[in-house]
This record gives sequence, C-alpha cells and structure tokens, in this order.
Amino acid sequence: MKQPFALVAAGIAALSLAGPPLAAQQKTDFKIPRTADGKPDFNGVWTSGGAERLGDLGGGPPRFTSAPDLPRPEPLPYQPWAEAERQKYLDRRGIDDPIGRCMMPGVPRTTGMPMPIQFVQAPRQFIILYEAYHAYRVIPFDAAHPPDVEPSFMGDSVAHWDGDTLVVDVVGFNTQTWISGVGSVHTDRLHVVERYRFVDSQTVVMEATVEDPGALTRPWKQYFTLRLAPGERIREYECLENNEDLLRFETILKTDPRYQQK
Amino acid sequence: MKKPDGTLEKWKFEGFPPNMLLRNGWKKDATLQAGMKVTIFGWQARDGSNLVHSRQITFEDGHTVVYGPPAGNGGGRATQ
Repeated sequence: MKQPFALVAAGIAALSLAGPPLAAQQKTDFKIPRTADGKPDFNGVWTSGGAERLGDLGGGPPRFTSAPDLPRPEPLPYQPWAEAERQKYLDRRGIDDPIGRCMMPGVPRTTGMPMPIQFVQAPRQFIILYEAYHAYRVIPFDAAHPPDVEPSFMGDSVAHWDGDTLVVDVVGFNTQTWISGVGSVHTDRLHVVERYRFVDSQTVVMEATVEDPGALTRPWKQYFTLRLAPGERIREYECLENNEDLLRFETILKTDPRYQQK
Repeated sequence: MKKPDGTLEKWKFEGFPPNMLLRNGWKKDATLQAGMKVTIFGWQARDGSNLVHSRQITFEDGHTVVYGPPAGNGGGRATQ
C-alpha cells in the first residue's frame, strides 16, 4: 500500500494560473494572527500545496485550492548542460527520481508534497515538521550559516523577519535532490530563499527563489500555497517499507531495451 | 481478478500509504474486506506484471474512494 510518489505525483505546488503580480491583488482586510511578541503566528498544521494535485474524481468541490492569482511558473532557466541532463531524465520517464528511492525531496520540493506540514514557532527558532519523508528543519533566527555545513538533502536554514514576512535562507545542499519535477538537477551551489507570508488569516504563500550559478542562468521562482488545517495532525509516512519500486526500477533498467543505451 | 476466459488471476493494487488513505475516508479493516466486489481504476506496471498503480476504487454501492495519486511523472507543472 506504499506509494512513494515516485513516478506519479511528486506534487509540485506551483500554479499554472496566470494573473497579475502579487502586489497588485493582495488582500488587506484580514488580521494576521500574532504571537505574544507581535510576530505573525505561523504555529499550526498546514495543508501543503501538493494536495491540489491529488485532484477530485467524484466531481465534488476541490479539497484544496491554491491562493488566487499567483504568478505563472516559468520553466527552469537551465544552462545547456543542465537542460541536457533534465532531458535525459525525462527520457527515462522519471525512473531516477530520488524520492522514488525515499530520499528526502529537498528544498523547496518537500513543501510541494501532498502531506501536511506543521510549523512550530518560537522566538529564537522556527521548526518545520513535514509529514512527508519524516523531514524536519530546525531553523534559528538571526543566525549565520555554520562554517562546517556538510552537503545535505534539506540544506542548512537560517531565518529572519522582514516585516511580517518570514525569510528563510537555505544553503549547503547535496546534489541528490531535484528542484521541481523530473530531472530538475542542481549543483551544490544551490541557494534557496523562502519567503512565507499571510495572504489571509488562514492562508500562507511561500515564495521560493532558487539560485544556482552552476546550473541556472538566472534566479527562478516558485510559489506554494499553505492552508491552515484545523483538526489535522501530522501522521506517520514511511516511504521505505515495502517500497517495491526499488526492485522494480532496477529490473526495468536491466531488462527494458529502452534504457539499455542510457 | 477474473480474466475474459473465466480463469482467476492475482493482481496487486498499490495505493496511498495509510496516512493518506485515512484522509480519504479509508478505514482499516472496514472499507475493504475480503469478498467484496470492487472496481479499481489505475495503471498497470510498466514491466507488465500484475501490479497496478491505483487511482480510485468504486464499491458495489457506487461510492468511490480516492486510492492513490494521479498520473504524471513527478514533474508538476513548473518544468514540463
């Protein structure tokens, strides 16, 4: 009953809705929930944007809708070598997706998974618990990245406030994650800046700015909608148990002539 | 599963993990029980084995439950 979202639904939450720039249509008639120290209060369990891609088969109302009028995502502005890599992985129809092997999806991709996310906010640190892949991030406020950062799947995160926006700066990635979708490779020079802000009292939009001078020609942005989910809680998601894809992919790679020349 | 010639064949249907089935209203030991006749929409494994990526299950009374994630190659919309 396991489905690690390998080939099928690495839910990327970016929207295809065209619309005016965010600044042009921000709601102002709502109150941002605040903690005792006056900061926006992100505490709670949030339905992540990846839920949108689960779709609806029964014709009922959508269970998740993204914030309206988010900018349309653009293709990743890849340097030629990286685009060639991406095409190679697309030709292999995603069989190499690291999350199919239960690796953590990295940043910002984990936010796009269809499982909930919990924010635990304290004055000195901000903790993100992802149901997906047991991923978590413990993010200090107003700290520098440590000097001994080792390349990792989720990178090293530090946070600060920009007015009512929570800004998280992430570096220190390994090269085993994909940015957004099949073959979206990057180098260890990947740098992600996440900006979380309320667009109404129950909804947060996270804007991820992705830079990688080793693979991209310019910064690239992706937007994620998070909706507060009262009554929801983080449950267990174990990707590795009974992950038949591991064996299946290897079998396909060895026996399917389409993959022999790769 | 019954083949056109009437013989029976074993198939395996893969779907969401328990956390996501729960959220779709699937109850352990109650929603699906031995002997039920169900219809499952999904995609067969590329290696041709009797293994299915399940998307939706329909029960005899007509009600449906989302069983697994949609088709796609993990690409989302941003890079396709």
